Amino acid sequence: MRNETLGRERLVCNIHVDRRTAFLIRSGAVGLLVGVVVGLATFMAGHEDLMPAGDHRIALAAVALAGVYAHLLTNGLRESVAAAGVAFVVGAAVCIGAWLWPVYALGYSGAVAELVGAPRLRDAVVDVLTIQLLVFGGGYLAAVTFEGVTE
Amino acid sequence: MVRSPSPRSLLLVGSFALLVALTVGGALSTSAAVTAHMEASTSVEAQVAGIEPADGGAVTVRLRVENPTEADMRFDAAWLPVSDGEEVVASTAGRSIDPVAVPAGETVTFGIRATGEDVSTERLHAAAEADRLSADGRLTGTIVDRTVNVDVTDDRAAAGGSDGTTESDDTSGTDGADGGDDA
Repeated sequence: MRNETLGRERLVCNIHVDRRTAFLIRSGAVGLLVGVVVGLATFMAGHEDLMPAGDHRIALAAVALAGVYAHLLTNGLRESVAAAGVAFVVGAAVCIGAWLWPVYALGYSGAVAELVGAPRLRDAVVDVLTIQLLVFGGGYLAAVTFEGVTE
Repeated sequence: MVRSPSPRSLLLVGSFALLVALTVGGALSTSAAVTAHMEASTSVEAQVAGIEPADGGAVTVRLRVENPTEADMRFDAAWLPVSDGEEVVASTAGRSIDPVAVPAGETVTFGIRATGEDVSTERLHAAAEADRLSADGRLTGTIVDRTVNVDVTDDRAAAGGSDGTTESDDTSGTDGADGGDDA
């Protein structure tokens, strides 16, 4: 009986799964949700003049906060690192998708889509490599460091 | 037995849910604004500003082209029939015209010469002076290194006369097309 419970862990809602599955589900779910926030907030930060609040610092704060949540919503450093990795990849995809969505929504195709889409793709990649990497990474590392210092 | 979540967990999850909701809402609003902005800034418009009598049994079709995009455009061909009512009375002599540059974010007015087709010069000029002529067609050119076609519309009747454009004009040039830009 003891051996049976050693490899099992309660996940949520009283559902019991093995540790590996629990790790994958939790880090994947947190990474996915945080990634959506990171990607959308990065997209907003790149459109300061068109975002509702009109101040890109609010969007940057959301990106940094998402980094903090990636650590706080997980159990342990291993799960936290996995969630942050998933969040970065999902965030990059969401950010690039959000940048390119208007090209699709406006029905541009062929040369026009390439003409309008190429600079947007370039800007999206730049945003991912600057805002997301620095601000999200900074928020996440700050949370990990703070917990490590105060524990 | 189901354990109830701790207040800390509830606060954490609740605040994160709020962050998700605010971010998604803000991003949807931003995306809508970006789409509207892009729609306005990628629609190149060419309108007939006037049709005037010209030498040699021809008329000069004055076009106003607005380029709200962030790239320079250059037109080097036009397909532009000129009609008196339902009857086509003149057209651009050939598709090629003297190149017309329309810098990014600017509006340029230029003239294209259309020669009469099976119609006397007197009748053509009289129709032009009576403001009965209209032109619809398209301009062909390049933006960056891509070929683009821009529809030419004639809204003068609906607008009721002068369009109030303030751009400088340039109708120099011969043999089928006049062109210029006010960059």
